Amino acid sequence: MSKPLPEGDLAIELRDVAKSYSLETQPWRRLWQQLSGRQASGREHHALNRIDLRVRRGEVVGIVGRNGAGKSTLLQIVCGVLQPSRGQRRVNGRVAALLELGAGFNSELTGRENVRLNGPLLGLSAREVNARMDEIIDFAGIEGFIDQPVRSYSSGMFMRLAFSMATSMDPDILVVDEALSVGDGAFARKSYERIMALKDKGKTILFCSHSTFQVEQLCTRALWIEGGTIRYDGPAHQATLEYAEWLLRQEQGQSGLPATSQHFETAAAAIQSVHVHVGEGATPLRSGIDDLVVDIVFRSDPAVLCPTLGVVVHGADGRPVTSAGNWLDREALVRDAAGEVHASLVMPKLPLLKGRYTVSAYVLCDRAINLVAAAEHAGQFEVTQSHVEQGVVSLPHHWLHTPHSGPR
Amino acid sequence: MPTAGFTHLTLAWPLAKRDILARYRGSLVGVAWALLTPLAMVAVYTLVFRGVFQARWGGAAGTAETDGFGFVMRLFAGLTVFSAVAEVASRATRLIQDNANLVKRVVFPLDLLCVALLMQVALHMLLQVAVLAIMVLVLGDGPRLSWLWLPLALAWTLVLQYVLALLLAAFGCYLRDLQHLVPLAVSGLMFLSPVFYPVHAAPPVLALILALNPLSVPIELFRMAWFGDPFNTTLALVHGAVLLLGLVAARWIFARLRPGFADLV
Repeated sequence: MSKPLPEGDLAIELRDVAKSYSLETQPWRRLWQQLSGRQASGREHHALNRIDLRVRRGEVVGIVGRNGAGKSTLLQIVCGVLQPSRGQRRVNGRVAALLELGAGFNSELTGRENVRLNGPLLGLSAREVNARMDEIIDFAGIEGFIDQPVRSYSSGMFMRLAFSMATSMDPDILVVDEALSVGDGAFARKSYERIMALKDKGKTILFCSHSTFQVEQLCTRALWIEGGTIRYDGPAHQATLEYAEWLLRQEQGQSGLPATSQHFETAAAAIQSVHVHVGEGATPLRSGIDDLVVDIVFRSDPAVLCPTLGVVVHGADGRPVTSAGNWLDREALVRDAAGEVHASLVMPKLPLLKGRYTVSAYVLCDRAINLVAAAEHAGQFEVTQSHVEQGVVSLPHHWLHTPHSGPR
Repeated sequence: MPTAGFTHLTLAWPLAKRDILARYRGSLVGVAWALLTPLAMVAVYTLVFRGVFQARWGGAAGTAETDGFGFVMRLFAGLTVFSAVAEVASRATRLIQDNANLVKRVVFPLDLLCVALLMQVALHMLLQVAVLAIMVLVLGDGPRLSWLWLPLALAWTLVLQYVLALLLAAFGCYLRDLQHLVPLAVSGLMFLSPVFYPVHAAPPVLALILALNPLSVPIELFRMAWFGDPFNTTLALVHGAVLLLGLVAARWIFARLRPGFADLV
């Protein structure tokens, strides 16, 4: 990456880019700072520092990092919405910014009018908009509502129309800020496929998500941003690992469960209960003897394909120790007509060693890409052992007693 | 540096259309409000000034021409220019905040917001001009050669609106007080502009204010074009030069302040 690249290959280039915000509260002084072009003398907030980034044409780059780390600021600068306070930005090609979907929409106008009037904002001519109108409406799947004012839309319909429009403009560079979670499961899947299609066409994609999982699935390369600087730039799996480990170190010393524990549900699914118990017998669970059983009940939208379920067991420090996913095990979930799923995961003769553990449950879309519901650290259990084996897990092992032979 | 080129104008028009459509969507008489409002204002002002204060156009003993419908039409003419400029000024102070999404989320040449605002107001103004033309044809003297000055009067108004829109939009984003100050100033300015009286008939107390008021020339020019009323050419030349300087300055200031908008809305 240190080797200079030929001009034509670069889609995005940021050189020593910084963004700072003046914390000046006096309006007159702010105005004067801007008008005179004087560097703000007073207090400043540095959202980004010394960012150097070169993205080749056709690369799919993920961005991970905490809230407030500077991810969105970076995306906004790439899109040209924000001006960097210092440094240079160069972008080759038409950029589609999925920063805030439907930014130019007016709630009083119909969906069709909004598409027509917002086309030019996205760089489409009136003719191009008309040519793509049917495709846009069709992809959004809101035929019946397209001539209604968008204020009557559900938020999902609004997002779908906006996403459909933003991605239909055939961009060279797609900048996505958490937009993959649009709408219900079926649409999230369609939108993911559309982004994949753009990826396959060799478009450049910059993709920011809280879900390190999605980043690993989509991207080959990822940046980890913290405190306004790029802390890691390299293969996606490595970046997410660095980020996860750093998060873990941050959380250590804090009491209780990790601060990042998230519980959420969407229209597509909601986890109703996570119950951890010992196969037969009383708690605490005896290492290597008792079975660990995790009963999970969740409901899902019966209209979308059956979601998938993942379970993660964490150690006391929050670090994942082991996991299971029904899609990895090629085991279909059984869902009733109302969309409710009762699933039990059994880990026979649990080989974990003594300690406290927590259990998280995740519901993902049918292809296990989008997280649609999560209940982190929803269950917990304790393991005891009657022996002194050290560590977190007892792995199968045996000793070899080969007779000593030959020269040493 | 944003230029109001053709491609940019094609961008501004959808914006203006969006706002116009949204504004009258769901209302019963729709765009007729653009006419009903000023006509109602003219009716009220005529009632007060003619009916209550027994005012005459120009203060002097009125002729038939400046009484009755002459008064109404002159009032309407002045009010058309004044209210167009006033509307732009009042709305410009909130323009950037009201379009926060366009500032923060989309790459957009923001001076077009001012152009779009102008387009909306100009459309209303043209409607009023059409009605005024009908009034003059039916109730007044009919067409006269001085109507040839109308394009200049309208262009002057537009440039003045554009300068005010750029300045007030840019400053209004930084100084929120302008949102309250400008409407106040506008309602006071109505009496300090030659809307209800011609400049030459104004009392000496007002002479200086009227000479400095950027609205004096376009209003007087407008009335000169419609009715052949007296017009101060020297004052107009000075104001014209200042206005063009103001146009250059306003564009510079807007471009200068524009990078800070996204941090403020």
